[in-house]
Amino acid sequence: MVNGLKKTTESRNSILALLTMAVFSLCHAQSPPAETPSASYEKSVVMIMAVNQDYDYSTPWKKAAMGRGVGSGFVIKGNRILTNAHNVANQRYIEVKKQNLAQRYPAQVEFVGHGCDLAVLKVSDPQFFENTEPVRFGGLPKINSTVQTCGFPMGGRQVSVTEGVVSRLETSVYSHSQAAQHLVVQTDAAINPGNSGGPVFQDGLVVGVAFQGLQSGDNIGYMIPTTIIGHFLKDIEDGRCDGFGKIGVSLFPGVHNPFYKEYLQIPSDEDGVVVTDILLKATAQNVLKNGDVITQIDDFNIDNDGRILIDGLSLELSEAVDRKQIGEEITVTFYREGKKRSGKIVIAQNDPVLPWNRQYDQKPDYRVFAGLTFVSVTRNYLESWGRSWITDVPFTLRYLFVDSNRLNNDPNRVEYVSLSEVLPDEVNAYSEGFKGQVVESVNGFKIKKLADLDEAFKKDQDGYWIIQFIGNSSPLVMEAKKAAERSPLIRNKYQVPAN
Amino acid sequence: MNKKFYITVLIVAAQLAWTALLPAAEPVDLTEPMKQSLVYLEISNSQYEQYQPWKQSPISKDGGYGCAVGPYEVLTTAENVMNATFLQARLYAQNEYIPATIKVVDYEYNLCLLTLDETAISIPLKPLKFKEVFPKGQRLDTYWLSAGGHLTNARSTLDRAEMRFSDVSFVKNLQYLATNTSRPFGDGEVCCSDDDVIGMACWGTESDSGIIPAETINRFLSQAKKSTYKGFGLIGFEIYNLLDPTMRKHLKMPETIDYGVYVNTVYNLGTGSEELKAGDVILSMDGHEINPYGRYLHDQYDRLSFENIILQRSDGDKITVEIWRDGNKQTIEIVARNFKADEMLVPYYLYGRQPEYVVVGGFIFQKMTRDFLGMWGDGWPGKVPPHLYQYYGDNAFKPTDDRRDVVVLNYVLPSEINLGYQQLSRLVVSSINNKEIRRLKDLVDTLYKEEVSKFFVIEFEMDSPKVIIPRAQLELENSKIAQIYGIPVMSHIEK
Repeated sequence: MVNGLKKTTESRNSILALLTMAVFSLCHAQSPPAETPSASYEKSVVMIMAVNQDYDYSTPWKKAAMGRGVGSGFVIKGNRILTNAHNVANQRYIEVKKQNLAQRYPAQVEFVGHGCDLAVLKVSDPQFFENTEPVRFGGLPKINSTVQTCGFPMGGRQVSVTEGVVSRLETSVYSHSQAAQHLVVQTDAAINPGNSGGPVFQDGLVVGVAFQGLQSGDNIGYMIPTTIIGHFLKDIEDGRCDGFGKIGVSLFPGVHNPFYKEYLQIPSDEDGVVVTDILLKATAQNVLKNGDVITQIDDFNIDNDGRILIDGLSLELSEAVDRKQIGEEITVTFYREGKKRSGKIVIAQNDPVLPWNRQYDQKPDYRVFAGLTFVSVTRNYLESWGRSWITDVPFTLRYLFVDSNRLNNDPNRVEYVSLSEVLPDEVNAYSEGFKGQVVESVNGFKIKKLADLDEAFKKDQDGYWIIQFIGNSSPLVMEAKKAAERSPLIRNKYQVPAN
Repeated sequence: MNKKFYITVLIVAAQLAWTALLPAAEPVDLTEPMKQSLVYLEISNSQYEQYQPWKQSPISKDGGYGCAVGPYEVLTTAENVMNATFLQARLYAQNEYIPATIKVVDYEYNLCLLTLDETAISIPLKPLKFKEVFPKGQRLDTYWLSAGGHLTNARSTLDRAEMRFSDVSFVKNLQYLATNTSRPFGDGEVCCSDDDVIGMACWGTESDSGIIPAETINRFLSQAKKSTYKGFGLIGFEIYNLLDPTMRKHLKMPETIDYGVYVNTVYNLGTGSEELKAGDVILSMDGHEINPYGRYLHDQYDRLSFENIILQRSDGDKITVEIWRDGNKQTIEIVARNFKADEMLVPYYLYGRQPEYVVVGGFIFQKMTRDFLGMWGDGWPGKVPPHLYQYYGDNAFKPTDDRRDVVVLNYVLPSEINLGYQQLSRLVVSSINNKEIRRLKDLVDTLYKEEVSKFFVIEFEMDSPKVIIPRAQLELENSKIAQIYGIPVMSHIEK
């Protein structure tokens, strides 16, 4: 559960959850039966039970506690199951089962897209798919049209169906990654823990995947629309999940102000957004400049709120980018010094050097020298400071997290590296005070990625290891010979595996 | 075993009983002589709002205590008067209020000298003399004139002396700590040991209380009674402990020198700012050896932070410092330098003074101060956008010629002229019409002096749009905005 948006994987030990389910079934029994979503929904919806385990990000050779979750999924063509990425993130073991049947089948993740919160599972035993029917997908549902959500809210044995109307379509944060924003469909159909990954039907076709709800609101549930699902399924056709791309620019919406327009030399009848920053190494670097005013993206006109009209909906202009795969081009039309120009930007990952998204299914890397433990600075590492990490992390980490795109002007920097832990030993007895700081250089070598440490620690400076940290003029100093001698003993004492 | 234990206990108990039977020294009661020396202060307070810096907060009235240091002069703490708009004193057994004015206030010493209106006093006050003694472990009596006009007294034990941050400044001060207080001390109460007045109370809790010692008070008074108040030395650098023997070896320090503290950062203001370098090790100050934590052995107070040595010195005094620099022991002289909070890049306090601001076309530009950052509420250091905080955290004491103030666009009062810009907030201004903004005054100078361009183009740090303000419409819009939003004065910049 994160930042007000709850992910809907059930945690099984909640008595409250069971009570809620009881009330829910009662209400449902009293209301008139809904229009049957699809004769086949019972044959396509499956339950997913996953065991997950994360890493300890300050001493990454250790793993965090194990957890279990229950969610929903559904059969798609090719004997595969589509579900939410958050149902199977950091999975160690997955089982799937069909409603009302006792038998469970081990399943494996074939593809996972954490940014769009979707995953495709396969089941080794072909018997599982007997008597199942793959769903067919529809388009974007109309506002105020009726949809049916299927799944296993709060677990249970039988597929539950709830009905609601589509309230609106908007661009919103996908809480699984905590950073990616894509189109969502908001519905008032109850979406509860366990519903996650279940299909949302309209006229017998799947129009979405239920995936998150709003904790603070009543009956505000969200589903992933078929534009995003389609993007994901197309993305994985080549056997690889690349995810969604960006153009890597910061934009200010827009040119409401007539004087600003005049200053920027934009015709008074044009709307658009102003480029205020371009990410270092972004694919837009050789096309756009600060101060350019983008008025069109592909064939879509951009209004002064930064929105485009697409599929009859007014959506963020990022929707035009979301409709394309990484590696495809998008055309931007813009004004510079009064002249209208256009250019093509390749859609790419275009992440800042310290990306905002939470990582999953990635074994964090680390280095240990004389008990000094170094890790890459990621959101996951910062979250190891606990619930209020954003205010509790040391200042340099917070500053880098918020503004890394502006603070880093070195195109060769891959990541920032932090001293995450000191494994206590006589050789590092005075190093504790440097914990949580970000490494600037080691023995005179600038550290631009974790692996740079390997070379840097092979050297010494007049017999010393000298580690400088960003924003701290006091260095951490060790006697190189003694440190090298103690290193294997420390690794042994604290059971640090070779990496 | 058990038996032996009981015997021991019995012996101790017997000793205690014996001690209790000894005649105790009669406690000295100074209630009578204090009657002509103590005053009660009624203080009217008001502050300017940070969010609307043209507005003063509602006036509140507080009480404080003080004592006579001259026939018409009263000493109290700086904390008592920090937001004072008006002060008046009441004397024992007299009904009238006597207007008081601030003669000298030193927030770093947390002391204030007030002058009472001579014409309003019938009998001059009897000045107290502060005696520089440290009767550790002894009973203290604290006296004050209460709001109700009673001369009141509390008891405590003098426990220790230490350097503590005062509530009103960025420096640590020498304080005596009293424990077992019969009631928490109030600011400005007078602390006595037998017949001696040894200090003035500056804070109190249920369990212990703090006292500004006589030595600090006498130093303050000796300057405050002169025509100009120079102030005392303030630290111009930051230290880091030098415990690690490897670090000492790396600095090529011989094993015979096992003391000294590392200079981590040198500021652009204050004592040592011009003489010290980051990476120096301070070995001694005025002959006092400084240990790896930055403390020295004081004759009376045991271990104290080296800051005390600097803080005792008047602005301009010289301090002899032994340092370890570039592998050698050197002796240098550093000058004790005082500075005002205003000289900081991000002033630590304003205390009752109006924040500097300019409202232009509905855009509210303010000078960043610590109080400004305080708008983020409790735990603000973690909540302030880091780009703003870095000016405070790392650089508050490092103003440069290129950046004297940090000028922030705080928010926008919506109006036609700023259409489209109304969501902008918390941006650091970098330039106006390509002229770098080094202080808030530069912004005003450009706005009111330059007459060429059609637009004012304001640029900001980090990624944000340029703000375009048309010159021709500005004057009319300014008066409209002043009227609509009730802004009496569109700018306040101190000379």
